[in-house]
Amino acid sequence: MSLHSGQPNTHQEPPPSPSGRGRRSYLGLLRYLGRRLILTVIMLIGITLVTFTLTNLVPGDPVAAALGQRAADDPAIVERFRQEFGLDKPLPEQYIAYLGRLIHLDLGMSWQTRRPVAQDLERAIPATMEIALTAISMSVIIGLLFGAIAAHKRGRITDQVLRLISLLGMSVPTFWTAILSFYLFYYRLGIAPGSGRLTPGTPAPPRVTGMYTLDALLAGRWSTFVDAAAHLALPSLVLTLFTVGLLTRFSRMSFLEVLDKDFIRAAHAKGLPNRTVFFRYTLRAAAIPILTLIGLAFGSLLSGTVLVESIFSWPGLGSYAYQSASRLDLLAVMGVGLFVGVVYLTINLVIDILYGFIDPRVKVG
Amino acid sequence: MDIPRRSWTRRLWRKIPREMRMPVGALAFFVALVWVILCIIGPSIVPFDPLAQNLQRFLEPNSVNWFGTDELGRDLYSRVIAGARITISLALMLVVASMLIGSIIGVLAGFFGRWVDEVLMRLTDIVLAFPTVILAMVTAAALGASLFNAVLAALIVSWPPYARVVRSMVLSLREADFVSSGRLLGFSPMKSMRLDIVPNVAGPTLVMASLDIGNAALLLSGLSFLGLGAKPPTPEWGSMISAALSNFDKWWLGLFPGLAISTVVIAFNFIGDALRDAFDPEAVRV
Repeated sequence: MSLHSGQPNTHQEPPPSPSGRGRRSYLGLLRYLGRRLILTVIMLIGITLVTFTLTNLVPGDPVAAALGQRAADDPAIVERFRQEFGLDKPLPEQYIAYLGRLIHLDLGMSWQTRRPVAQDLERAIPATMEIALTAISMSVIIGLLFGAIAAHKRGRITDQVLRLISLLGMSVPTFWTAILSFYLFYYRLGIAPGSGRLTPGTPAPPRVTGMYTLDALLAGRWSTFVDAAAHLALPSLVLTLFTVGLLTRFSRMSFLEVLDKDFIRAAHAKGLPNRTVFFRYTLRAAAIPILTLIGLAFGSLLSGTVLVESIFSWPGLGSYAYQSASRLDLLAVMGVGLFVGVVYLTINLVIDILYGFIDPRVKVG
Repeated sequence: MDIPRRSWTRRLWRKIPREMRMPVGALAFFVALVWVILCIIGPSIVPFDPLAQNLQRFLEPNSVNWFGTDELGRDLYSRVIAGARITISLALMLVVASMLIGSIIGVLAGFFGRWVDEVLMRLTDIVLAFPTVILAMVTAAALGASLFNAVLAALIVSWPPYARVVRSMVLSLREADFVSSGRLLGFSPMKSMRLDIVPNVAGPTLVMASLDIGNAALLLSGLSFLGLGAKPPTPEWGSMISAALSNFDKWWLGLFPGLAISTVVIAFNFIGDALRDAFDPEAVRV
């Protein structure tokens, strides 16, 4: 429930149980995929329905929010606006029309930017992905390392210190660490660059992925890469703090569960070096819960960027969502919701399928 | 709710002290206690009126204004202390409300199964799949910015985990012998829920709720930070930090409200953590 959609829901339904239907058949996998796909589509429709209902059944007037009070007092302007965006039609009809356009991947027009929502998203998504991917990679490396250390030193002082660090990371509000770090590293120490994705005046690299660091490398512009990476550092570090806490705590738990098992003791008794035991046995056995967690953490990172992006003026999904939500820009919000929903559901699906590869006992189907 | 008080409170008392004996745990407990006391009596012990404006703007922390003054010359110390009431009481309210709503939905889904389960759980899934902050933002923006609406918006996104967990507990309880024997004795569904299901679900759910208080405070102050919660003169921590953003060279403006939120959240998270350890969920979950 926190700003990062919080504690991941660790009580997810258990992974698909052994079906008892013998060996893994690809037909079964296909059928499973089909069923999941249908469910996903239903969920996505649900997401649009929730947004649509919320923004329409509440007292706020989108027209006033989009046009400003002055214009909203002029009936002629309001009428034109309503016609332009199809708001004069009854609600169910509006909604059906939206779904109809959605089939062609047409997300409609944003009232605010007066551009197609899809086009806005295309611009915003890489910016957010750049932060989120950086943050998740750093968090996974640090978090798993911390978790493994804490589990091995269970109850000792190292464990306590790591527990404190992870609790701190999860408890301190991201928007506060963002401001503090900005003050410290930019204003006081002057080591971090200002807000935004590039120093003003630096041309953006030619678009390939939309992620400036990657694009700069691909174009061979070293100075642009350094600049983009420097701008990326602070926001992604701030986000990493939270996720590291999360991953440390939960990976410690999963590691602890495995460390108690007999096969680990047996491996040690065989005289295998610690490193071998960890990578060959512990990590593999603890992989499933950890993988689930990483997926959830990534999903929560995506929405956690809202606050961080608004502080660092990062033109990503979060800023876009915030601006559209506060203007009640219905279609834009539905677009963001759909995108994040797709990501979230896709990650879950991929993870469920990966279960089968990590642990052959789990069969999807 | 008909909770067998003795059993879980006694377990609590027997196990908490060990956790709290650790210095960090004791500290967390102390901090939380101080904040709760400040939440109750804070506004009456502050040295200055938290809303009173003054010509001495942007004073650095000094012996009169311990935390300095803000952009309108208001005493920051008084504002931070007065903020305790708002954030903590609203966070508690939010947690209780989302626990109740989530539990009711979870019990209904788990107990009646079939289409009730299907409909309620798909609804839960949809809300869970929706990014929390964005959904809360949309709701808060649509309802209009006010603290109460921020709580409502937060409520919409924070009940699903309870529904999920309670449902899974009810599912396993439903198969337990004492529940089936109740059914065989001719208990009505209501009676069965009241006597057999709810008391056994209550403990773990309360633990989960205690873990949630910190997160609730974070979410609410985050919404206020975005301007979707508390309105300006209100001494709310999130909106105070947001005001600090436009004067971020005045470090004390953001530092103290942020420290307040952080200490509250850390303390409650730590206590919730200790509670969960003490409860060993496996043992409680029948």
